[in-house]
Amino acid sequence: MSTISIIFTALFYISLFIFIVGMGRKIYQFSITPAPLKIPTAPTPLTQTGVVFRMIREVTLFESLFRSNKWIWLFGFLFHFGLLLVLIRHLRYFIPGDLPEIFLLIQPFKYAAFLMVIGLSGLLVRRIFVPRIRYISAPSDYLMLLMLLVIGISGAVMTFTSNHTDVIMVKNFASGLLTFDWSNLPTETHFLVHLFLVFVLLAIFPISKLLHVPGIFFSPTRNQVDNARKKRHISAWALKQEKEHTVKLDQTLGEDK
Amino acid sequence: MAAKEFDIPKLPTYIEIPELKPGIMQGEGPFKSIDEFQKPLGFPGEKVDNWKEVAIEKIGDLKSKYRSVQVFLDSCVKCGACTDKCHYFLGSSDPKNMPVARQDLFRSVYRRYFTFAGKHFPKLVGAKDLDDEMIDDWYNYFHQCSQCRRCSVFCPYGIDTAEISMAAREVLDTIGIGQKYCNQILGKALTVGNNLGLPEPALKDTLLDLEEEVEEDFGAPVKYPLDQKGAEILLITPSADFFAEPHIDGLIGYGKVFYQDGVTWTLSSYASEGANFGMFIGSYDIMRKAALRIRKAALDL
Repeated sequence: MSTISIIFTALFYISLFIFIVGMGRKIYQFSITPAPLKIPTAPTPLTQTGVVFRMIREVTLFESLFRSNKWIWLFGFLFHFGLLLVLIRHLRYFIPGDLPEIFLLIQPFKYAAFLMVIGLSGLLVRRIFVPRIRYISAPSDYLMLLMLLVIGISGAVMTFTSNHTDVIMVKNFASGLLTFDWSNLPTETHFLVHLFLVFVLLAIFPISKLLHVPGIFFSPTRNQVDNARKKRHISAWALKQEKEHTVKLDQTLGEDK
Repeated sequence: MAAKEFDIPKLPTYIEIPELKPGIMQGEGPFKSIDEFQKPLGFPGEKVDNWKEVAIEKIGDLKSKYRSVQVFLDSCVKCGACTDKCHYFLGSSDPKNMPVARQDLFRSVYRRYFTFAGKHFPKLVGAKDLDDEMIDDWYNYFHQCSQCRRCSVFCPYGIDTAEISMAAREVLDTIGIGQKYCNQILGKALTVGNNLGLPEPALKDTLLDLEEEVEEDFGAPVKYPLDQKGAEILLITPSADFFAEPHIDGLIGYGKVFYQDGVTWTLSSYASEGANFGMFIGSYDIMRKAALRIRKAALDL
């Protein structure tokens, strides 16, 4: 195996390790942190089923964002939807051996790369030219978009221009990563850049704003049922305080007859 | 004499998003609380010496107690959806009144002391030190949030600035920088029984006057009982109902409805207040104490 292939193989496992451990820790932290107050935002679902539907609408249609700002919604949706299709299409590189015929159907998903790039460009343009958004942007916010743009564009260059890379080699490399049957990868620069940035993205997932992905599912304003009057809602720490009478009325001012 | 000319703002049909005027709402913030109002609530009377450590420790404590705080601090992607949603921003044009920028006063500190990226690459991710300037900004801008939660309706992740404002105010109280209005009122609610500090004789007198007035106007002997043991209903109302127009019409109305229904009811002088300011300062414990007072009044009566 070539040195570069060894480096990239190692990078894959390192970034995947950081991703899994980091996300695991973060999701664990989110899940053990209690939510002492009932704070679902109107219009609130009154049942658990309602919450599930609300969450589905939020993550598939970006409902709140649609209410908020049509431009951000459009570009955000194009990017995320494009990314989803492109990711599905990438499965074919990771599944070893011949693919089932159903994969012919996802072949056209390659055009989703354009959705992705258009969406990202729109978001970047807004970030640069809308003063309000420029005001709240840190360097990392631009870098994140640029990185995703470079990933998208370098991928599109491989697919849609004559700068193809050896797909069979890519497939052997990618599926080899999963089956621990490592092999060489193509060394075209745009492919290496593409791959490297994806690894970077994986590694920074748990320490960056990409945490919005697990975050939405734990957001109390979106995942709570509005039933505070039907069912008592109290967190473990508040209940403990109550049982141990740490917060007593007679500790407050004045007399407590 | 010609009338003085005023610059009256025009009300447009659609909301116009103002241009940013950074720092236009910069200032001292509301009146600060003093020892007298801080101590009884269990907060230090003035800014403690090691305030920075205390504040950072409190942030850690809050984010481990409130999932909202932890998740909201981590999840924001700075998409800008909330930037034109806050009435404090629309009215003032100060960019720090945009919900995301308001939260960022807190988030940048969180990142600096609690996240890998903020500890090692503060400039890159916009993490900032907790210094005097930052604390002043906290005090000023977190008191320019009415916790209406409008921003959270529009946020794609439901990030609620009110939760962050509450957390920030609790941190401020913990290091001895309290807000006079809220803390003085809480003191009154917890000693006298209502936010205005109306004592029992004053309430009684007000209610007697009210009875006379209502009888005069409507010719019915509507009663406004106070501390009547064994009543079926304990009415808790905001204390503005006892003196302010038109709030008092609400109280008059309650009395009439109860009179018509023929149920026995009473107000309590021990807990005559329904508005719980513990929410505003973000203190679960004080909020609970204020609520317990109502519970105690109900049990006693």
